[in-house]
Amino acid sequence: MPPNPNSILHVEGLTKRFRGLTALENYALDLEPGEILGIIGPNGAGKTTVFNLLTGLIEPSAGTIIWKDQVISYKSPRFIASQGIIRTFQNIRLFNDLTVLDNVMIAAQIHKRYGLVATLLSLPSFVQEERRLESWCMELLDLMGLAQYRSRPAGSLPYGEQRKLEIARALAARPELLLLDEPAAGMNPSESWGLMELIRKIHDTFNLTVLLIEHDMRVVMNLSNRLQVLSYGKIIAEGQPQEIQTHPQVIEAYLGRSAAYV
Amino acid sequence: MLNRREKTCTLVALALVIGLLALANSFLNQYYLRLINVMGINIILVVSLNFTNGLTGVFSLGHPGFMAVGAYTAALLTIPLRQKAFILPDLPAWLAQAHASFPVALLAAGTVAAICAFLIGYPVLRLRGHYLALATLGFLVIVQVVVTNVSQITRGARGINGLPPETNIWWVYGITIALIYLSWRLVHSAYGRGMMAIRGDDLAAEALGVNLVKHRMLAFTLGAFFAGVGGALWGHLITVVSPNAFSFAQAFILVVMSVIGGMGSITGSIIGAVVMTLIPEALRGLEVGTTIAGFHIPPLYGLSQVIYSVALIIVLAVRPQGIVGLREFSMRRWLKN
Ligand SMILES: Nc1ncnc2c1ncn2[C@@H]1O[C@H](COP(=O)(O)OP(=O)(O)OP(=O)(O)O)[C@@H](O)[C@H]1O
Ligand SMILES: [Mg+2]
Repeated sequence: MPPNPNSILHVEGLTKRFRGLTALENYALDLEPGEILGIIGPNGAGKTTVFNLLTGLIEPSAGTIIWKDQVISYKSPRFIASQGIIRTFQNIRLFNDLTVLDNVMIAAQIHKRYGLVATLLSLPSFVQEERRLESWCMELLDLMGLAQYRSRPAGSLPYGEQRKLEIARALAARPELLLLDEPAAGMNPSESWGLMELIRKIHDTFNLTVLLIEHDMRVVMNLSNRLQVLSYGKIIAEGQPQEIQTHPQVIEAYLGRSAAYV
Repeated sequence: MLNRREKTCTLVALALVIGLLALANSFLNQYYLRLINVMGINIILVVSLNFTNGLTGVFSLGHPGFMAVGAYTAALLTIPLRQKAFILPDLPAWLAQAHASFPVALLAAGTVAAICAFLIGYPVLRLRGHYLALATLGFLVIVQVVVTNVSQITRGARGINGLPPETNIWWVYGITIALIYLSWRLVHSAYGRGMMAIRGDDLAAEALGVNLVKHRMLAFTLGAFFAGVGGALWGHLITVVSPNAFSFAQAFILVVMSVIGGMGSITGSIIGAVVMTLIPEALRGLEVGTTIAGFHIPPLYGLSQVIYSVALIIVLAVRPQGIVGLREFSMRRWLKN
């Protein structure tokens, strides 16, 4: 059981092997409510694999994941989502054909309370609940600055707005733990700065606990209370942002491995 | 949600349709009435196929199989007991005694078809990938084999004839309108959005808590229900049910209708069904040979099959999303103009 009594997410010994390749080895994590924990590391370090394991999209080869006293390793993605752990994807995965509003509604309806009969007969329970969901979704779109796009197909949005929409969609499910996989990827410096402030704002507004994978050092150093550094599937350093910046092994992992990537 | 003005317009349009159908019913001859009924049944079939193939993105070819199940179920219930004893003397006692009114028979047709879909779908729809197409293809073959061989119930390849001609414009279009309404309600609810999310990206949908199996099963069984009803309507229109009417060719025709109209759209499904009922029918004269302006055109057998194929190729080449694409007819947009 979690050594840290405050921890809501406890992970230990988490390991994932793909055939010969060990993508993640003996990964451990204790997350306190309200924390923003940054995960950094070179390409292929295993960061996204952590998210895939936490959200049940892939099964661990070994290890345990405990969310609020409940073992969730080997549970289905749907179950994990229903427990309040929601993610975004590194390579944007919106429902491109559907409108911006519908994208967000799909996540919001995880908590819907009407049934098929109420839907087909358009009973008051259905009508009221749809209104409630819609106004909640519009509130989020407003917050993320996307309200003017509500009726446009998600796939037609500019790239940066699609990234924000992914976050809005995740928020619609009312998560407690939000996993953001490179939310600023492909953004220019001013966009990513704006996004950073947005992430801080939603964190404060919705009392979120956040796991953040991000290559943009400015963003991740600014947002995170704590950082983990992964390299070749292992945690090579963990601590406050200032400590990490000067950590010899981290500098080595970054400069030695991928000088090409800044 | 519709506002009051849109609601009024929808009701007016509905009243107009009903008025036109009443006019047609009293003034048109048998040939045209039958064509209108066939068109309505095709709308039912394509709109119900749209639940899986269009909205949820799982491809089913099983519709003719469900139509067959529905048609035979209803036939066995509506044929008068005396006649049944005569043409099907070896029927098990409980079936020989079973009789039901047409509406009950339609309901039974849909229900039995839906149960079949549930049994096929349950193992297959948990898998990722296009297994449903294969499984439903297998189902078509099984239905053919069973219907052809269990002749004490189905009269085998001869088929059952002398069904009471219960199908009329009101049954067909009553059910058509009910189905369109139901579809439309579904699309604008959590259920329809869940289906469309699965079509768009099943992995993302699942990570957001959408129940893949439940939505796929709902789409598949609901579609099968109406395919069963459609099959029963069809049987009681032409008053014959025989196995060769429910072949792979029928599945192909329905898929063509759906692709041409616009897969994923209710409006598209309706348009596809209407267009691809009328065009082959208009050109049917050519199939038996005709004379136009002094030129004698020899009979072109199998022409309608060719028309479906050519139309499909043209649409795929010129407008792969179909006539209306994913869009729906919108009263709001229409009122603005
Ligand atoms: N489904 C999979 N099958 C096989 N190998 C995989 C799979 N998913 C990830 N890997 C491998 O596991 C390793 C870790 O991948 P992961 O996506 O977790 O890296 P990452 O840290 O997110 O990298 P990036 O910064 O490029 O996103 C990589 O070598 C990758 O090729
Ligand atoms: Mg990654």
